[in-house]
Amino acid sequence: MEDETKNRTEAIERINAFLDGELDHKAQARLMDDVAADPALARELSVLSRLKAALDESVDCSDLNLEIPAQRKPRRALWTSLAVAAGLVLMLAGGALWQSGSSSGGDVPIYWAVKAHRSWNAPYPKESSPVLRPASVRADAIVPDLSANGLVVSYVGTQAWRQGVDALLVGYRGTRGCKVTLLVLPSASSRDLAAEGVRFETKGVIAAAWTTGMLDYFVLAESMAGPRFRLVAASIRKASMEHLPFDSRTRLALAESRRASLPCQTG
Amino acid sequence: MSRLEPLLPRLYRYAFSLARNDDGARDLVQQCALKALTAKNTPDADSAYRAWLFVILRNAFIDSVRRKGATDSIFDPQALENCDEKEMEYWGGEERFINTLAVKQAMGRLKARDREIIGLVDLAGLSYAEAAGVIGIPQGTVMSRISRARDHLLALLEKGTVEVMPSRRAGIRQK
Repeated sequence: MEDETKNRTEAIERINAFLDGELDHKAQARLMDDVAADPALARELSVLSRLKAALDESVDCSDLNLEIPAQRKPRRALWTSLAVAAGLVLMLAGGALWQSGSSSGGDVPIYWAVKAHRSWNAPYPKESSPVLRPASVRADAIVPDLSANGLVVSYVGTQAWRQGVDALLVGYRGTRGCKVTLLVLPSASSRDLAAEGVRFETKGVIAAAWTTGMLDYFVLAESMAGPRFRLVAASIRKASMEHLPFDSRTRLALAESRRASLPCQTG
Repeated sequence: MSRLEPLLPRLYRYAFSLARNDDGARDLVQQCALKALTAKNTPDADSAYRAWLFVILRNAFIDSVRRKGATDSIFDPQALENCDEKEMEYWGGEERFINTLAVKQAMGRLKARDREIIGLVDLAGLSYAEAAGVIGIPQGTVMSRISRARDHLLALLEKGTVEVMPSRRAGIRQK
């Protein structure tokens, strides 16, 4: 019994060390084997991961403005200004349909989506906002809980698409300057999205978009580390396809991704 | 100033864990910054400089506690002696109780020693080695101390009543 208690304490310490990035590869692999074999350990890992994410969000530094003597705002690097001014557009995966005057004659939702992303500016919230769905958006629209990645809902609204059709707009904020927008609207053939999705980047905004057949989803972020954004987008896409919330493995990956990423830069 | 500025958010988050309020945290960071900016000699290596700042801030907090004569300080020998060393258990609560609001409230009720280690590792993002250097304890002690601090925090959450509904499909209401 005493050994069991000691083993449990040692296991919990190893889990904590893993979440803090303090285990070497061998120790990590050993822990993952133990977690895979023991549901109680797996749950403890999930609980502690969630706790770390909540702790990280518990102190807001997004608007610190500390009055330190001789403090100056850093100047924006020249190359950054030029890149923004140029309005660079990159096609990261297929889809000539995203450019204006495409052969399909379809819409150009890229600009609409970026405009929607720029339309809200709510800060990190003191309390969670209720999510109200426009009537034109189906009841099975997925609005994911991104708290494992340090993002919480701070704004909910609509973005007009066409007459009578509104997109659900959900704005997420992180404590380190991150801003993520989720847009959900009824699927339309003119938008010609694929289930596999496309990613694009314009004027400092990175985005991903896909269709579930009934609903089109757009996820946008600014200055977020690429790998972190791709994971967030892929997780939301999977949840939208499967109509399931994130599992513990996804939550853990999201937490790790955030921990390993630099803070988002605010404009 | 350029070396100090990027570290201000992390210093603030650590200071908040000690002071438990925004004004106190800002005050500590400003004291720390003033001492750092007026110091004749500063460590050259970035890691040493970072650790040096956290030690300055910690000392500023300890000084303020001594001036006020407050209890439950990280320097209260009684608090250190009477620390809870019971064996840790797997957490049996519901995961939905682990949310930002509840954690904020529970952090305010933690003992100073637990708040400090969480402040260094979770809020300021220091490694175990760095945290050990700031507090002046062995690195192995940091691992057990952070585990116990989180265990105590979870125990408080299990007793807490704050619950925030996450945004999921079930949380969507029709306009």
